[in-house]
Amino acid sequence: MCNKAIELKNITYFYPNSTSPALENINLSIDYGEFVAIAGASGGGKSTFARIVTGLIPHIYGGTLNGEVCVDGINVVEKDIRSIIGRVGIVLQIPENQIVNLVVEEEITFPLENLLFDVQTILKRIEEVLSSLKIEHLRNRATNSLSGGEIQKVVLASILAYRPRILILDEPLAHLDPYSVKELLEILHNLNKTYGITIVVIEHRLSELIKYISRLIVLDKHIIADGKPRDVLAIIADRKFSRGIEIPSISRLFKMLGVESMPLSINESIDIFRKLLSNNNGWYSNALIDRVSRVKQSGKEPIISINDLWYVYPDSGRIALKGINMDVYRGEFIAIVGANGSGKTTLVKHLNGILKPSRGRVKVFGRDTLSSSVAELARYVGIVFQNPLHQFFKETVLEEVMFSAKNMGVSNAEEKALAILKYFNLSHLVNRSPYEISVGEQRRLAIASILVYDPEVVVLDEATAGIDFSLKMELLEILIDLIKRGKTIILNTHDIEFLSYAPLDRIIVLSDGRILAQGPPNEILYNDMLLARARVAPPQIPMLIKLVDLDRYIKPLNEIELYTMLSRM
Amino acid sequence: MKRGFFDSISYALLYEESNSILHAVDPRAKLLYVVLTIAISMIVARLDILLLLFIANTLLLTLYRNLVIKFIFLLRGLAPFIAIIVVFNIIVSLVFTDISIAEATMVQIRSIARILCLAIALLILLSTTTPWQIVQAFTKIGITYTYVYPFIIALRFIPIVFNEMKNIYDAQRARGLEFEKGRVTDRIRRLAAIIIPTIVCSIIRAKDLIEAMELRGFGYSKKRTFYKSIKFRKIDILFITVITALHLAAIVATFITPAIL
Repeated sequence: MCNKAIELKNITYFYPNSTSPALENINLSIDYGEFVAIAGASGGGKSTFARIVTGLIPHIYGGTLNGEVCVDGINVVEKDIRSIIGRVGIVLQIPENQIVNLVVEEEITFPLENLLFDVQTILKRIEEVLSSLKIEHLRNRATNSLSGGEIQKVVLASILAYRPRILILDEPLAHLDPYSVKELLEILHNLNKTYGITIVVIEHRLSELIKYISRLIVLDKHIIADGKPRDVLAIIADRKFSRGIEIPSISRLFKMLGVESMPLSINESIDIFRKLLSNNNGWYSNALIDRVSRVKQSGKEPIISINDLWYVYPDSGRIALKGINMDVYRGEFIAIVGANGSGKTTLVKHLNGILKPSRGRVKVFGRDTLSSSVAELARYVGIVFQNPLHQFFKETVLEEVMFSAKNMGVSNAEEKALAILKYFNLSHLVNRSPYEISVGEQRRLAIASILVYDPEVVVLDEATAGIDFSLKMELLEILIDLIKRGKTIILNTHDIEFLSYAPLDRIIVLSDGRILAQGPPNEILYNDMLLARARVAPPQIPMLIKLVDLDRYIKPLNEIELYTMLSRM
Repeated sequence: MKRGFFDSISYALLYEESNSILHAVDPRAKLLYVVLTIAISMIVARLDILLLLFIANTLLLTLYRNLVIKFIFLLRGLAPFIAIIVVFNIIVSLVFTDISIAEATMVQIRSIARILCLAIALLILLSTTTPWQIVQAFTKIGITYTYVYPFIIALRFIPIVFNEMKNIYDAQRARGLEFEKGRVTDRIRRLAAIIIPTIVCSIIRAKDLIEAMELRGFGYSKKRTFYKSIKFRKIDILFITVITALHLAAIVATFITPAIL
């Protein structure tokens, strides 16, 4: 018996038919009422941990589990999975996959009805969770019509209804836009403080999360670090992209500056930063950095021009795009930002003619998309969609790349395919199945299978969703290299921290199907009013600079830029 | 194959929240309606009666305005398949039996009328009834919910899967795959590019769903409570009376009236 919320003793686990352990020698105990984040690289065993705590391992997954697992006083391994039901709740990576019913209210009652609660209690619980999550207005909505953030809250409500003492969330922030992230974290914070629910968040995006947690654990098959967020951060910030964890820009900055105690949030950092500045009065006048702006617009024809584009969904009649005007010039690096549902994906689907304008005109390399086929336009504009699994169907990685090459009539397809796989560092995997390789490799393969036929413009739709920080940086390096080779790149994303590292020429802000503004990053990312209207939060460094009133002098986008500016003084 | 196909099907079968009369009708009454429609299509073989029934069914659709649109979308999605089956059947019956082309065509027209009646009944059931209601309806007649949910979830996934297929279709076309060109055999072979990713993604989704259901107590007991209980009201009795009378009349008319068509 144990009196901890979660206690793992000497846990080593092998998935069935696997010779290397997913977790090795884990000793961990989490007290009731803690708010813990478990971070680590993709494939480091974070999800495995969640499955062990919920009893899915070994009861559903099988495999070999050595050691002792005790959750809320129950020995999970010895007892069957039923003994743990009602004690632990889990929100999976893609919450919409765990919705059973069609109406929010019915979904919330699902576990209560299974567990034979009486009607009076159920009715009381519905009211309770609806009001504590502030989703009364969703009560009678169809679950298939909800946004990503809303779905997550409904799933959470359905779990909270049976009042588990422990709540686990597996990468809950990956697919949320910045505003929804804040909303969700506030909710979790409240649940933890008000009801004392033990919360374990498995996540590598720490920038927002770190302010709320009481403890940070870094997992990579073993426990790498475990302790107060500040201390753990100090340990892992030493190595550059440590374990794929996204360390807040603020913390990175102060680590670079050699400040002893690392601030975790912007508010904390203001004072430290001010103090630092007062020591070096007047430095910023000569620190003005000249951003290398590669102006390409002047006197050149746009390669893509969109004129008063409107798009109405044929089924629901919803207007997705409302009068979009935009030009793209050769060699530009563009980001389209906006909250979930702002029309980003719908917009890029017009660039290769998958969608045709309801009104207005899209011209791609001089061709009107209305009168050109997708295959013809795809030669110029290659789009990589969000989910790589939506395109894999061949037996090997090589065939997957060859498939696009052949479709596009590339001569000596195999040679080109091998070359592009080498460029993406996938040569050792040519004969593997695209389903066997890791998430990061799948993402690269998806891009490789577009680049193989050498399109002028490469469009990436939410390319960073669900991949860890080191994979993001790896992706960025590839993109920068492509820009150097003269390609035009359009990034569709709400991952604003990622954007702050990219050498963009232009950011286009989309909200509710309209372009709110477009301009260079140091203009857009410093316009917090604008970003707020688009439900996007600015990156940390611009926020800090604005708060200390320095944005008249310098406009760095990330900690590396700011650090170079500071070191020039 | 066109992109609109996936759009049409996924929209047609999607449940929508609404306060329409059809949403309010007891699920048992709607299940009865489906059962009666199936019975009719087995008993009645006269085109005139089937057409009258089809008109009556269509009138029923107008009780919820969106259903008419959904029905049109469904027809648009299914039309190519119905056409292929009809042509195939006519050819087969001409080659292998000695009935005339007129007769063979009549047989096919009758079966289209049956399919359409059945399609309307299922459309009404699926797009105005929630799984929870259907599960409760079955529980009331003594069938354990653990057997009913899997079927209902399978039905519920149809629009979701079609929606996903649309995205897969887009992703493959972005890689230069052309579904509209080439010989029929090539086109069929190209479908693998859509079907394989769909199956893989569906399996992943099913795995997640199983885990989530298990952890929320699905199958914890054979019994189950329902937070509100479905009850027959006046509107349901009216619905049942009208539907039953209509279908009985159709059966009776088949045997006593002379055939017009």
